[in-house]
Amino acid sequence: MMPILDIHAHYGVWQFPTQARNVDALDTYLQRFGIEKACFSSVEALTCNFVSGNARLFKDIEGHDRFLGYCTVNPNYVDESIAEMKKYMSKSRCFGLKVHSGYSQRPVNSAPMREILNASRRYGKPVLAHTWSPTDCAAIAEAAAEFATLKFIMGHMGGNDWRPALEAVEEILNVFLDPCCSYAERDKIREALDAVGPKRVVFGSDLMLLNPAFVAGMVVGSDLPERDKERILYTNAKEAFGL
Amino acid sequence: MANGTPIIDAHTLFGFWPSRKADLRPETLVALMKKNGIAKSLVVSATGILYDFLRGNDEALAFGRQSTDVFPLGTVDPKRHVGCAEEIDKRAEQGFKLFSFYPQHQGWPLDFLPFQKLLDKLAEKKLATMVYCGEPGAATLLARMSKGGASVILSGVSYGNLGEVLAVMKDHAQFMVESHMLNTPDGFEVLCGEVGAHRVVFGSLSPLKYLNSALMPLKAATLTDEEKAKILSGNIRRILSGEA
Repeated sequence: MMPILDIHAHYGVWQFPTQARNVDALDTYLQRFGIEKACFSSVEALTCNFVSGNARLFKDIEGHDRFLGYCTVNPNYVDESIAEMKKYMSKSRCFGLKVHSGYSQRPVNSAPMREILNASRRYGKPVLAHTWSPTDCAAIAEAAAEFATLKFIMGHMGGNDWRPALEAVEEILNVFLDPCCSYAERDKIREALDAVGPKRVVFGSDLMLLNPAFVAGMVVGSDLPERDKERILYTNAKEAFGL
Repeated sequence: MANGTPIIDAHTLFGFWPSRKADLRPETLVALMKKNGIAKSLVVSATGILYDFLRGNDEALAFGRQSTDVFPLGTVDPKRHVGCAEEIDKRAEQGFKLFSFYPQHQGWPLDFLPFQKLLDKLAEKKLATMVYCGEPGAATLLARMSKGGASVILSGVSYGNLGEVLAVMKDHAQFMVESHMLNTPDGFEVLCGEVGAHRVVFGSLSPLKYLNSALMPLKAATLTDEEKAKILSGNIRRILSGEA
């Protein structure tokens, strides 16, 4: 199994039965699945309090070389989000900005989110945006066109309804596709590459929701040349984001 | 893989898929099986799921007769009601051991009297049932409907309903899990630790889904070879042999 750079992982508690709850347990998973580095957002920050969630994440991953963190923001709290970015975005341990339109109920092209994105430009770090519908995909396409200097990662590639995601960002070169999802439709990886080329699809595991091997299985099982699989699992994230 | 245990894929399909362009030809499935070391597969016809189960079961039977590596997986759409019980009788005589239900594709609720009658009939005949239970609450409902007597295999189990499924399995010994969506990082370990490896069967739903997405998590799981062997083939072999 080739090494992996994972740009989409979660730290904290999800409400399902699992044995892994802390950094050490997660580190064991990263090693088992050959993940060289993984970028985590705080579950607490996404689902509840983004300030305390960010604080716990960056405290707990300190000193763990495989772990990087996302600064999660909430567009319902613009000033506080900008303050969070000031706290974390310049840290070497901070990989980028995480936004989730589902939990915040604010699309990535909404006015408060655009204010946050505008403020984030100074940090030059990628934005991982959750997408789970064609509407989410259209929103990220619009935001990426407006903030052309930012690199956006389309988390879940639209979810179960993923084809509109490909159409939405085919021509928008600052959007990268992250296909992790419970729905492992065969051919979706090939179709993603057909749409955006081999350099704009990156690997996210969605750990601790999903098993990295489940998502890697989509890449390994895809009908693609080995060099393209390696690009998705590793090289693209290294080249695009300097991981 | 688990000391060379032959793998039986308990859930595959073939035919035509309308909601996206997908290569589900029988020869594609057989090629994928060979490439990934799958010795045998249970196959259901997409025609049977989406259009006409009478014709679909005929297709699955023909595929099974054409290829010794394939067993037919029966299906019935309870919405038709008339003729459904007779179809189960007919296919049981032809050697079908497992029937799979797809409410998510066919638009009926689990709490559906025509389905209840078929569930009861399959149990009476000691035939195993596989049912998609991907939504929270579905497994609980099915547990209330199942009267025991034969295995009931839950398909579509993922992080969203794993806890519920464990609760159901602890109270209902006939319940098992098919693994194609068992995608939590330690889902196999949790299931085996809580209810035992004898309650899980490997399925991939390939070629519609990536076979490797189902197989690689099991390969990577920290289970014993004996536990993996049960999941990969032992448990489904037990069901096909007519044991509960």
